[in-house]
Amino acid sequence: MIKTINSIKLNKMKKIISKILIISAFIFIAVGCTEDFEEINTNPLSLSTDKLADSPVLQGQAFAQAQYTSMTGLHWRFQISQSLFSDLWSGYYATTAAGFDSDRFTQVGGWSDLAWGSFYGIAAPQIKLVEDLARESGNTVGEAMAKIVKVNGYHRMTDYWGPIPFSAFGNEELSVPYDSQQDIYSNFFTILDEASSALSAGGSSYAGSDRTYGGDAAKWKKLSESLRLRLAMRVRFADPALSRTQAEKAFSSGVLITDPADNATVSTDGTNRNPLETITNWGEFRMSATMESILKGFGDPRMEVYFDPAASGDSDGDGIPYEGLQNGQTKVALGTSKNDGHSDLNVFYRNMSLGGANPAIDIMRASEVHFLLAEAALAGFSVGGSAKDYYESGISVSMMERTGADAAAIAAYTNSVNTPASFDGGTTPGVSSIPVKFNESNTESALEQIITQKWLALFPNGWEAWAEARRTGYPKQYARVSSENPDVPVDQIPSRMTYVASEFTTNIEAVNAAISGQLGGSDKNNTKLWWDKK
Amino acid sequence: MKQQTILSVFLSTFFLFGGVIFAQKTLNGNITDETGGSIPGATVIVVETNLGVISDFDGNYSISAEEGQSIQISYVGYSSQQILVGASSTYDVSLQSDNTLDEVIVTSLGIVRQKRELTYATQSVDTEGIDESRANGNLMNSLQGKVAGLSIQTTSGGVASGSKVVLRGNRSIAGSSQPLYIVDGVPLGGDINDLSPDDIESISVLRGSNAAALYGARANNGAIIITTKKGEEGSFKVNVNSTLTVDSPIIQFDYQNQYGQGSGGIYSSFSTDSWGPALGGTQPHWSLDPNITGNIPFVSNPDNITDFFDTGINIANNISVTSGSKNATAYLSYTNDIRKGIIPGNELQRHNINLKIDNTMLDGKLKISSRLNYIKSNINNEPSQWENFDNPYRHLYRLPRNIRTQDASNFEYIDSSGNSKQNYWKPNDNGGQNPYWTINRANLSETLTDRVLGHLSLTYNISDNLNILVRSAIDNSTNSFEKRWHNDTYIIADNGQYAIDNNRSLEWNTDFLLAFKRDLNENLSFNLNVGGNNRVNKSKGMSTNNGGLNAPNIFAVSNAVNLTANQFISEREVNSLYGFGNIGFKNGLFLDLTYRSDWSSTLPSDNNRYDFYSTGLSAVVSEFVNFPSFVNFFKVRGSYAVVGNDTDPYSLERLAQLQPGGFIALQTTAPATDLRAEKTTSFELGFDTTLFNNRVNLDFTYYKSNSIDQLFRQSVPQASGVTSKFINGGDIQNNGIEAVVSVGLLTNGDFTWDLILNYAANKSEVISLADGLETLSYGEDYVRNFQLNVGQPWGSMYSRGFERDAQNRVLMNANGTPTITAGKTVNIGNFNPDWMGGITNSFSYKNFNLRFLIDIRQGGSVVSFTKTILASDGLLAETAIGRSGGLIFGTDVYQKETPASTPASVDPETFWASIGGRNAPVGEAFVEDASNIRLRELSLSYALSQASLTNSPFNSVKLSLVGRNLFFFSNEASIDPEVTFGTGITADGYEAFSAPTLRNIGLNLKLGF
Repeated sequence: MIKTINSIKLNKMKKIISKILIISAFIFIAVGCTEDFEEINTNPLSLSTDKLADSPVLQGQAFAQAQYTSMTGLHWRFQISQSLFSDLWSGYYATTAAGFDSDRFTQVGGWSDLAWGSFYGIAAPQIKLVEDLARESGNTVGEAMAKIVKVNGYHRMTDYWGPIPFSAFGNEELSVPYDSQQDIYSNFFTILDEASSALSAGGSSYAGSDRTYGGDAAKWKKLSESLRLRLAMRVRFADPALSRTQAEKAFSSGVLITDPADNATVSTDGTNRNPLETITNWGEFRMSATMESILKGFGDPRMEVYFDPAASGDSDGDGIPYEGLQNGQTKVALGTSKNDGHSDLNVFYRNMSLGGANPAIDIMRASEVHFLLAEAALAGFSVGGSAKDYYESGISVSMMERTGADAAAIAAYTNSVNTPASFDGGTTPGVSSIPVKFNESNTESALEQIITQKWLALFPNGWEAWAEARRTGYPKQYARVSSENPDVPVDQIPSRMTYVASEFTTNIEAVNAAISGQLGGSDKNNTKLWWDKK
Repeated sequence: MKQQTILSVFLSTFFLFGGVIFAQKTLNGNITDETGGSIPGATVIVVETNLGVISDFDGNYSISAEEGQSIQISYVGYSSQQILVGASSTYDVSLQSDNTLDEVIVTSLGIVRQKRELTYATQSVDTEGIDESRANGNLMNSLQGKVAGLSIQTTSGGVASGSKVVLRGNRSIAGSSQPLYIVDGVPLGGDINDLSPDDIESISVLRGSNAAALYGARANNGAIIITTKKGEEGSFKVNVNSTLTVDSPIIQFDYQNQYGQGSGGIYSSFSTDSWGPALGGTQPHWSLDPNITGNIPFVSNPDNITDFFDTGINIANNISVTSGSKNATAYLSYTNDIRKGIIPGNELQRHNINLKIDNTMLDGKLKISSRLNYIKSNINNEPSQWENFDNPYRHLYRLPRNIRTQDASNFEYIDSSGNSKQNYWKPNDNGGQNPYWTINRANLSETLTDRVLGHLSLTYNISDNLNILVRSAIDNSTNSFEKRWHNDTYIIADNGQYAIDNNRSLEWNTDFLLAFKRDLNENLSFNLNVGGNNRVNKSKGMSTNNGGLNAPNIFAVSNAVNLTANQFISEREVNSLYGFGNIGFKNGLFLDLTYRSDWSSTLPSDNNRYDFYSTGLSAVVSEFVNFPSFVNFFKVRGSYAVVGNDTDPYSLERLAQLQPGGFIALQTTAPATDLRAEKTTSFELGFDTTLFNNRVNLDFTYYKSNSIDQLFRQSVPQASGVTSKFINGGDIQNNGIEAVVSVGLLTNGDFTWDLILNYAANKSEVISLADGLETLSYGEDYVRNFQLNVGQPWGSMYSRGFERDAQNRVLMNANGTPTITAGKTVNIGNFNPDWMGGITNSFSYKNFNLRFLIDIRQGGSVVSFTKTILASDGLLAETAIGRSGGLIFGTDVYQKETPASTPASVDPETFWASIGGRNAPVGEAFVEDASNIRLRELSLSYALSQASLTNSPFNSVKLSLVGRNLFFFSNEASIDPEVTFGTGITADGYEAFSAPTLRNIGLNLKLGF
């Protein structure tokens, strides 16, 4: 009896269990459908471009990214783009790191590859994104701002390499053709025309995010015209007519950045810092001998704001504890530390933990505009003043904003006949014989005076300083101790960057076409750029 | 202290229970085969005592035993027999031949199948000893050298280092070539090495995708199938397993000991190079400590590298309890691992609790199996790898030759302002550190992991022919990592630095399987299975970085100068349905068919399904054809499979990321808008045979696989607007052979000798990439560039090399250095070996057992980044050549090279700077042959006889002496070529500040109660 009940129970249980199992298997199939797959495959932490298109606020943040990255952005990108190349070749610093071959004129491939990639891989797509989004959403002010960021970013690139991909950027193809530098510059002027015209109506865009002018269209127009002036002077020796037209156009716009209050910078914060703030921590750069010669010889008060006294004091016996290091030191010589014996950057540019200011990153300063106008006047362009006036106002603007010097001190400086001094206590003469006091009678030495003073005013913008040093040959620099580059002897500086390895693996046809075509057959560090015609 | 205690337990146990003897009677008998022929050399042992004899030439034996004991008679190729000793003294035995036809193997989905049915290559791994030597606590490393075609390379690191595991060669351009791990029928989401070797019942390796087609995409690279132990029917049993091993590093860099710090022959206390003057006398002290001034001896310190290391210690203890009735069994096991690395402060503690309960209900119709495995581990100060500033090896290997241990170990001092500072010869050097500072103040980290593996399965026999399995398993782990850097760790951050990482990840598989099986008639059997699987992967994480500390050396998030946080998320779901069937004819001919469809959330919704199928045939030819009598068994098999793959989550759309500080950055990779699923087609053919009375077993496989339509990122011109694009293309072909031979070499008296050989050779070729694409660069480091070139094998390494003329002579620069190619354009070799093999010898004599494994890797190239640095630092022995007067290329160094012009004499500092160093090392000058033969594993064990344990509380006692990586029989390179720095596809053939290989020796004690 009991047995029967048990077996009935058992049979019943078996049936129930088999039902449960089979049903659960089918529920499984039903539940396991694919309806929510699209949701699963949507990353809640990222933004689709559709979402960006709908939001001016988000577009502003994307714009800020374009601003920061187009000026190299992160510290290591800055180091491999600027401080290892143009900062050394412009003569601002010498390196104390034995492994930094670029001070001996070797263009270390890995670094320049990353420099190329930092612009084309990071900044350029972002600029395009912002420009496209602004255009699609009818934001004319934002579109104009993006165009100015674009011109600023690309002129820095073409000034490094010469012919570069420009008009075909973003084609998403396996080959991207290069444009000649001449075409690129001509394009820049057109783009600036469009930008300035769109900005003429005033207004504002990306106000909460714009790190230069808080979205103020009127101020952006000032940058547009000031950039026009910079680019106009750059082509002075290659296309004098274009140079004159554009320079005069910029001047007649009446909205140049002439007051330091309008300086164009990218503001920084604790996260997105001025790269110098971090790389100075690494102890790899010191004031160059050229810099010491000029600042010390001129009795220039900016010496103390740009640099600090050497840790071990006055070593060359000239009574002044600021010491510059001659560029191109050999590896063996750098086996012994040169840091304590030479001047580091002023604490203002150094790490925040050491009292650094984490300053905004310079795009263009008023003082530069004055010096551009000085050269324009020297060239006979009609820019509303004489070369001397602009030369002196340039010094004055720079002195005031950097040192807070009063008018009398500035006048004393501009009238001084001091010339560059010896950097090593008298063994080697000063790097040049030009005085501070302007002498218009000799056009060439006047140009040297203008560019040398501009070089001082631009500090620490080595990118622009190297371009102008190549174009004009000024300021004169001490010869390097050594060069490891057969194309660039110690008494010269490189004329450009050679093309990077990644282009030869990913874009070989286009880069070879650029070399044999626009560049004239030679991809070397001493190949002259189109605008380098003096 | 602790290890001493354990050792004394070992020894006292050993002596307490040894050598007790009982009274016996003598048994006699004759052993014959089925035909009545006598069997000489058969083994007869008394089960209880483990003592045995061997039958003589006429098959006669004589052995002492007690009434009530059992004797077991065995002979290779025959089923063994067990006889209870009664009153009689004579026991004649007839043995039945055993064609090893019944060997079973665990295959896909945890299904146990007879090996004879299988249509593809599998190898079940001898798990004997994996719980003894424990392979530095890394489960996979204990498979090294044991499986044909399985390459296992230890990744550099400390006590928790992983390994790179590849079956049958690399094939995936963008993804991983590592196999899938299946535990109790279910894929494992996380790290296999967390599992305790004590809990492993069996491991079988499904080498090709043929075997694994049922697992879908992830089994593209083969699968490793692990079955965990379960409870045994019978009374309560306790097993204790204790291992204590010690590690010592095998350093192979050859240092010079003649010159110290400096440059150009001049001493500089500040220098990180050893291009200074000849050692001898004294020089000013380098120390920054104001209390330490004056001179120190400037002498050679040949041991300043090895002084740094501690003896590594590994202690593993396991206790397992099993008990069970007919309907319910339970297995509970606890494993505790304690490891101290050779880097001081590098430690691991792991607790692993594993409970498995199996129930049978309803007259055996319902089986419920559940397993819960909880693993908690705590890892301290695992060394960072590669060129990372926190990698202690990076700083250690570069110690200048005159630096004395007693000075360097003084890594810290208090400066005039009372701050603790780093004492290093080159203060504030970007990336430079005193290695003692690194381990005490910079590489301070803690990783905590809690992992739960849960497994529940129900099997119900609906009828005799039909059953259903429903199963669900999770693998969930949470991981927290934190790292602390003290103030004055150069350039890391102001006042110190603090970073935290918290992650959790889940893999959850749920599946069902309906199995129908029927013998249609005597000759024809048939089975059909239908199943489905739902897989969910989710991971989430958050990391914070303090961006420097406000108050020095207080490691708290609230002490951040500039706190940044990053968050990540990844989610994927894959649904699958599959069916497979098998038809067997006369238990000798088997046809397999499988089909599987996957739907993946990562693929475009209108095209998210991809299919796999395989077919295979196995014929036990010896069942149908009469072979010569020495062939006992012969089977041929062949199979063909197509396996697909999906892509990563969130790859279909170009996204933008929010960045700290109010930025939004556009992703640099173009989206994969038009994706086809990847596919691997593979074909294999093989045979298994058993020969000479089953003494020899040979398993041979030829395979060929083509991985096509691969999804990878191709670098495109950066000016195209994206840095890389998804490409669907490629055809990577691998083909090769694998052979496993096992031989019962000797059975003579108490002595047996078994030999297992395995051999595998794989050839890969890039058949095609994509339209118009002949070369794809898929990775780069300082030394090497990896390219896939159509028509060439996978694994070619390109580097800088010497410029040569038409006669292959090296062009020279005026200063006596060779000219170097501008780019990494010289093919310096392929990292893949030509072949790999292993030889396992097993000897047993009475209660002793000796086993050793020789591991062979022939061919392939390796290059050491460390050596390029040590060369330019003036540390390697060869850099001492020519210090006075210079050296001549081709004569003093690189004698194999012929210079194209008479080379000038060059000072060695200039010479080695031109070919070594970090920025542009010349790979061709440093590439070496990776061939090596090593004694991988050795174990000598002694098991106490049963007789001696009768009056003890023990059922079994076994003591083993174990060792791993004891020595190289030969090693062509000056480093261990099998140490890689990661598991990625570019990790092979490269040494970069890796941890040295560890020589590991110890004792293992196993006790059964």
